[in-house]
Amino acid sequence: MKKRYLIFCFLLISFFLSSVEVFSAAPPKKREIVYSLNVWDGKDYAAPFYPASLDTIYVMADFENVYSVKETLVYYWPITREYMADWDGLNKDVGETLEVLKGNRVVGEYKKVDYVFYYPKGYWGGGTQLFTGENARAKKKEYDRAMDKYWKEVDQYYKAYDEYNKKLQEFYKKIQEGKPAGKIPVEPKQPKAPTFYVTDVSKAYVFSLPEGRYTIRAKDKNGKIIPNTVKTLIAFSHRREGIGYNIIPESKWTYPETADDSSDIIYQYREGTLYFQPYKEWEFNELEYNKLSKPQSAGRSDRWVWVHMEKASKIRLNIFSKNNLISQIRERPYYVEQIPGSALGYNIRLLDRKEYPYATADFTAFKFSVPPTGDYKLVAVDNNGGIIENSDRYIRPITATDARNIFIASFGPLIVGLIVYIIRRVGR
Amino acid sequence: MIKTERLYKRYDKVEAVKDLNISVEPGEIYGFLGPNGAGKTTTIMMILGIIKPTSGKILVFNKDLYSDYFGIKRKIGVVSEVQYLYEDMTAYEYLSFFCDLYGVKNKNSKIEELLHRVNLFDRKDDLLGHYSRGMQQKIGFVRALLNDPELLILDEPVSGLDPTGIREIRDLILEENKLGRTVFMSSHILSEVERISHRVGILNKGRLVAEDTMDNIRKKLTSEVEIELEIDNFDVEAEKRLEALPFVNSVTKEDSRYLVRVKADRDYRGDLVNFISSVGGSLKEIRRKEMSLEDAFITITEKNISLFSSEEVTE
Amino acid sequence: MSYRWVVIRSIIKREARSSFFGLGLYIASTIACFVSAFIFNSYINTVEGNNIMVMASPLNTPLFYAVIVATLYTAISSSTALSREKDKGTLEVLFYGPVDHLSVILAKFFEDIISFLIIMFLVTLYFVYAAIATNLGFSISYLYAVILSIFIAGSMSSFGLWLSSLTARIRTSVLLLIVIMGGLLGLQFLQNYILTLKPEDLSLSMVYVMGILSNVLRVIRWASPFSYLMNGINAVALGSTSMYIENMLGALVYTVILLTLSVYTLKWKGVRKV
Repeated sequence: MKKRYLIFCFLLISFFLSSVEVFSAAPPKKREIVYSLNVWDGKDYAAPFYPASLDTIYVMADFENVYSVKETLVYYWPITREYMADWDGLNKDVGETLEVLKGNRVVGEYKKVDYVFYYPKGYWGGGTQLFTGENARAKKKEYDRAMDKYWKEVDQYYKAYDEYNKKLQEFYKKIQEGKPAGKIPVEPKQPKAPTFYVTDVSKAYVFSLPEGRYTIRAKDKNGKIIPNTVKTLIAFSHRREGIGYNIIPESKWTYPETADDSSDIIYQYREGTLYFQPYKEWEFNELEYNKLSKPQSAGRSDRWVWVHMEKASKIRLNIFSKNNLISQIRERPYYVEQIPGSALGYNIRLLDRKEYPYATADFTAFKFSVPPTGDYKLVAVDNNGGIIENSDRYIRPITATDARNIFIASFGPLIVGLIVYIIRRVGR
Repeated sequence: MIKTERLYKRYDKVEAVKDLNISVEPGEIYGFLGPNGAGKTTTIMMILGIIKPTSGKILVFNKDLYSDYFGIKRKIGVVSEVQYLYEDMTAYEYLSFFCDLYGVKNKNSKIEELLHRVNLFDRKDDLLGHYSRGMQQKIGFVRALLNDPELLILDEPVSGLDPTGIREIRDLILEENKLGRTVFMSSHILSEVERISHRVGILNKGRLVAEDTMDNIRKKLTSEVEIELEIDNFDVEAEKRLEALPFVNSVTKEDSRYLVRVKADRDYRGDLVNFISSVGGSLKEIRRKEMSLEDAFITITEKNISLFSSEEVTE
Repeated sequence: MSYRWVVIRSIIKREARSSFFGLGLYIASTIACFVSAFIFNSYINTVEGNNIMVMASPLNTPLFYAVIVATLYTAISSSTALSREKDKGTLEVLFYGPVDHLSVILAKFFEDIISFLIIMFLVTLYFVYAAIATNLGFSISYLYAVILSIFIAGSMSSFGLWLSSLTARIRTSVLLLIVIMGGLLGLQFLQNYILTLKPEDLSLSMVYVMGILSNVLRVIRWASPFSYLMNGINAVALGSTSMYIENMLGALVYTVILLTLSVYTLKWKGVRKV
């Protein structure tokens, strides 16, 4: 018996000791060599950073990405529960060369180049483009010129505005004195700032890689590998391409839904109208895609996510019922007309350019009025009439208006049981 | 049929069965006796493989049970003291289930035949939960006989039954024995065992203290036999000569009836008849008073005697 | 066919008959359907409220709850399967005949699976009705989920049988099941909570306690049949084939281990009425 207790105590102590490893987690702010990246996420460039504790870098294959090796201060930020870089405290570029290896073979050796990001619709407008080398410098000059021109226009505007103010005061004075004032002075027009934006020219390693698993490392000017810069680099690609849909129900146009996968079924309450906004979409591994922009986030390697890349254009939607084409829909502009008075509410109307030449559309979409019964299949086809892969979705109107019968039917098995039970008792 | 060798069963500090060596021969009815807690049921459960012995060997049909578990079990029928039945089943369904279990062919005719024998055919579609104790016991017997077993193991088969029930079960056991089945029967109803057993084994405090025919057990237990005589024309002189006979231990008289205690080494009734005739006495009745199994059982268990050593057992 | 299979088949037949004529199975099916009805109701309300609902396999969520009910029935039924027979003495009577520990455990296990299939059949009939009445429609993932649920029911049954082999009274085995189920589910919820925390947020002593807990949970991940249920449902929801197969194999291995353990436990504890 004593032996049994001793074994139990031994197991218990071993168990407790095995948990000591957790003590190693400590959150001080410390100097670290980190990777700072600008990676293409399919829609825009994200800027993840990889502290020393992360050993794998994720990038999208066949797209140019920007790699920097920096020495900075790293600290743990409990609010977002992730490691952060204190770039203001320390932001030192380290290394001269970046090497990419496939197995033990060096497949790429990169030197720093000039690069800029070009934002054609402004910083928040999306559609970011990367320029390197001479193109980067040219783009930057273009931006600087545009900005110089703008500032000059602003300067001229303020001068003209001063002049305008003076003329206006004189104009009012003459009127007050009862003298002829002539025409009212014309206010000068404000200059328009450039809509695009270009970042300052910086230096970094810029390259794209085909899909695969690599090792990345940075070397100093003496060709020595910089400690803590050896990491695994995964260049991943998408699994499938398709069409995803943003769906606006007519009755609640501010609460759109998305249907990204072919297995998604779109349910509509009885008859109603749906507006489809199709997007080109790519399907990525969830873990890889999550890590791409947020390396410290979690993700599942066995799960796949569709990412809307850009609005699908030059397509039409075909609607089938039992394999018969019942409707072909084209994209149209719509506007939302508020109903005045106490009734409130709104109507979604087709924007007729001839009728309202100056009106702007609230959205453009493919409209489909779902019949009250049956099931329908929606497929996107391109200009040549070819069906676009992974663009099909089923649309089903929900036919039950209340669940009373469904609740009543749930007692079916009990009725079967009672019948069996009675048959057993009576039949014996 | 059944043979145990140096069989032991120990529960923590209690020895339920000690050094048990029994042997049940083919075709016999073996009465397995012992007071409550003597280890009878434990022994039966060990024979059936339900309880694992601490040590020792059990042979059934001259084989270790686990050398042919299913084969041996299919040749055994067992009836326990209390019938644990599936009370939600009818008698027919219950017996049909056991027929399937034993792989009985022509199960319907077999069930019908056996139910007729125990007069329960008319109740075959009644739920077993509605059966009386006696009826349940009969169903237990029918279940045990479904597979035409070569060996019937009965654990207190008539316990709790009324006299009619006891007689029915007794008759059934005797009939089955006549059909060639070996019967191993434990009981504490000694008169029943005495009436039908060919041999008995007596278990006391886990130890087998006697295993023999009834006659031999009696002989081993007693040093004298009582013979009752009723004699006319038997005078005082003749009485004195009777007392003086070498095999006579004592004589008690009451009117014309004499209780003569003689040595138990052999049957002296012939000698007594010859003597009475030689002295001119007229013998009207001679009767040997037998030691009952109950007397023997009480003698053995209360005095804790082992007939294997003819001495009291030392723990 | 070996004689053991004749025995197993006979016991399965008896047990299945008993379940079929009893009410337990139908009550469990009704509860499963009734719980699912709430999900169907919530679908109708959602579509009515938002005018739209997008869902890949709408039947899988109600099926998830139906499977929980059905597997709980399996667990309760199996956890009392041996103890009830021990308590009533009928198990001992079976062992008078050509029945051994393995055949009893296997027979009880397969009977549990048959009962589970009957429940799933009744539930599926109900789902067909609900799917037609609402026009929700069926998808192939429903079939995948049902197939996986059989393996999960297997792990539940083997777990229940093991508990049952430990005890000789119905009350004890039910109590044991409730305590263990409560404990395992509690730890599972704790695990989900812990996953939301980071060691850096906690005091050193709490970090230490968390370390111990995470070790306990690591073991429970493999020891609790509920893990297989949760992971199985996740696998179907995610449509992950690898996770689906992994979970199926995991449940199968778990079942085999627990059934083996049950056989040895039954041998150790005995089959007699106490």
